[in-house]
Amino acid sequence: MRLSSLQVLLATVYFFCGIAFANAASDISGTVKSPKGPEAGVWVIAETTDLPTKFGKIVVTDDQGRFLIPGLPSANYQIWVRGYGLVDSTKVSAKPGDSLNLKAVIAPNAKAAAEYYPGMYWYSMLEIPKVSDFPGTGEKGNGVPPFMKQQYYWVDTVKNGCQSCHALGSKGIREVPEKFKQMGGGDSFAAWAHRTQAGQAMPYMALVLGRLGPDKGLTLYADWTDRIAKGELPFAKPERPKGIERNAVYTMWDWSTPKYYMHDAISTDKRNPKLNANGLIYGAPEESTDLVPTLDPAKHVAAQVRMPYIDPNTPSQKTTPMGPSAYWGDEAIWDGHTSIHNLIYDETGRVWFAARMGVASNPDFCKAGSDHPSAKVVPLNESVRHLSMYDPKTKEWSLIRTCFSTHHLYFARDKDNTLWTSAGPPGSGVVGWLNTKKYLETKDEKASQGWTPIIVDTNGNGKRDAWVGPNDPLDPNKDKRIMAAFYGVQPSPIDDSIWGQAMDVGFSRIDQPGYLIRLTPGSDPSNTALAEIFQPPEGTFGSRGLDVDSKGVLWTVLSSGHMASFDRNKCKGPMNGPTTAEGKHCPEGWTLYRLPGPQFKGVDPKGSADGAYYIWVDLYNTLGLGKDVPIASSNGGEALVALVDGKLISLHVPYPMGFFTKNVDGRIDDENAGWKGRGVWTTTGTRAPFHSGDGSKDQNPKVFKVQIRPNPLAN
Amino acid sequence: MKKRISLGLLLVSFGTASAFAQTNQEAAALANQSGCLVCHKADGKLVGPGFKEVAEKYKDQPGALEMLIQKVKKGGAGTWGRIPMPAHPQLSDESLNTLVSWVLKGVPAQ
Repeated sequence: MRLSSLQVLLATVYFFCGIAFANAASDISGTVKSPKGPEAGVWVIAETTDLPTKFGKIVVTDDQGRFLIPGLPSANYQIWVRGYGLVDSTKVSAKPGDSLNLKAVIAPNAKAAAEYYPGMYWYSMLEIPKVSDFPGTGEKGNGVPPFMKQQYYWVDTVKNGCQSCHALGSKGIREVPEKFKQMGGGDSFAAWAHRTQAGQAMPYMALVLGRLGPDKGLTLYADWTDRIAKGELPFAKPERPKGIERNAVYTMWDWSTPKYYMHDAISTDKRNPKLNANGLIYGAPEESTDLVPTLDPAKHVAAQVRMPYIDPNTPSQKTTPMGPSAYWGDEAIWDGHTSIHNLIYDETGRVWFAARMGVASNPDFCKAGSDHPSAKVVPLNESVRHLSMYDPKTKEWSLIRTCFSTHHLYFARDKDNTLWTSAGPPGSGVVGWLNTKKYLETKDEKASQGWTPIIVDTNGNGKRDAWVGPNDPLDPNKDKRIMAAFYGVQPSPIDDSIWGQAMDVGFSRIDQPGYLIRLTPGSDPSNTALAEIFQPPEGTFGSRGLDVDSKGVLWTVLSSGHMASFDRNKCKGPMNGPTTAEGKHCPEGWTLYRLPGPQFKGVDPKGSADGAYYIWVDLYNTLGLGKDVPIASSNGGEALVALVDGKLISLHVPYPMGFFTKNVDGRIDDENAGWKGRGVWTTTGTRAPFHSGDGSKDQNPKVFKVQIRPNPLAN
Repeated sequence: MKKRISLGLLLVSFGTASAFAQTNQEAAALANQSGCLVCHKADGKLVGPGFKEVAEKYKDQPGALEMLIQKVKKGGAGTWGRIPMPAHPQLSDESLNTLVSWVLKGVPAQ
């Protein structure tokens, strides 16, 4: 291989930078050594409380144990080393411009080292009932409920039911708080029962627990933490960051309060990542509060704006039944009405939210007898979440009552700037949208919204006809409706199709597989939209979230422990007709990538114990790993996992422990500034920030910015 | 005379049934609002026992109403398995009476 002159120059520059530690006045650099010598692939963490909000930055050492933390605002920092095989070093004080020789501390034993492993290394120790235990024989049999028909139902439940809200395996979870031990009288089963009743998420936890027995589930979780308390350690060990993983820079800011939690954050318009350069990041605090947090990353200022709602009778989380919390006692810490789940910037910098605007009962125009064109097709009696929009320029809100429930939001690239939504659970059986151009011109919410059922062209004539119901046999003269709704949603960047993804049994709690769904709206979507459905290939399951790359290829994450792509162009068979009714007609369209990490014992080793909440495709190379790189929010790996040149890389965020995020988005602040002018943004997404770190009431949700440098010492 | 008595009983019965219907519907709505249905359903175990099983267990037992009111209010464990029932201090005595009476009647819909 011959090096170009540019490569030689870059290598020379890198060499000399490394030798000289030529850090700028805003950098802190140095070396990390232990008694064993230089420590490669360990993290150096800088944190300060001198700025308007708590601020931190993390980098990774290179193969000679050198590090450089670039671009630090002027402040006094605490600096320490964290790494696999180590325990945290003593914190030292430093200022930008300093050069440090940090002393890493070798972990004295395997237990001390394992304290820093990502959650899945501990969560994989959870016993999963054997394949032969399914279908379950019930309370008087093996404890597994009869509706749990196959082992994957269970795995999908402990991931998409439990892990979708909590950083399972993190210290705050794998250890049972004393309060629950006392409440349970020393019985760990009872302690887990109290734990799953704690706080205002109790109703949802009870739903999930009901699916797990509930006694069988509690027994297995109690057994898991009992074994850990007795000293059992993970059977697998993580590897230190290597290669390009060492080029990452993680920047973090506190926002909101320790009592509230975030679901998502947004920095820009997915269609144009140059929008809102250096501007505010907005957050979605879901059930916890109506106070939408904002972060000014240039000034390091966290603030908030209150979201209003239409109906004064909109229920508050304050009234949700709950048991006492180990952290907050009997205090109901969530007081949200608006259930702000997800958000997106539009083309002019307005922020649109999936949020609750009133009680569940819909206005009459949504219901049977209405002249609304969508209600004539499928009347809707209830919706649990709707839409709102905030214009930062005018500081005014627009509140929009939709007939359909909303969950995630993405804009199409059409003349109407149509905002396509997902519903979350499958119950509504419709896909809803808002023509935002019409809405902004008229403020007519009724005329601007629409929805359609999901109808598969099972009679194969290429057009929408009368349909049979979800549980009816096929009729050669009709199409078929499936009772599913979108969880993930994304308008295709290459055609007018809208892709969605319906959740599997662990989330939906109905006996129906998860699907990818391609919706072709047609000229009058309520009456013309047709859907194709696709199940993941045999042995995989649990699709959650999706995105579409610039070539029209779908990307999703599977609770079987995979990142997966689906290329419709690879499908060989007919795409409509009776053979497509179950969505099993194109296994050849799928490509699987096993997520890193261990697998649960007794579960198919082709998968992983990791679970990812969502996936996002970097259409514009905002991270620096390349155009069209898919990025999964790995909740077990406490990382962003990206597919680069066919291989998965793991961008693990080591501090605070229990990094848990639900999705990312990427922004270009300055396209002429190289890696410094771009990055992806996300936020703490666990329902319980107080489980993070060592488990503390002082943990705010954080905003994270992730960037990739050309090398580990670039500044 | 006989006709008059029958008509009177019928009226009383009608009035009582109507009053019960209102109470039962209110109780069902209260159970939903209070979060009871998160862990309980009419028939069979969810997280806690089914309401009809509770009604059957305590059928004709004197003092059951007050005992169960206290159990809902303060929480309890052991009667129906190992999963404890959390305390519900937010429920008023009137609401507790409505809910437990409705459960002991077998959660009639109307």
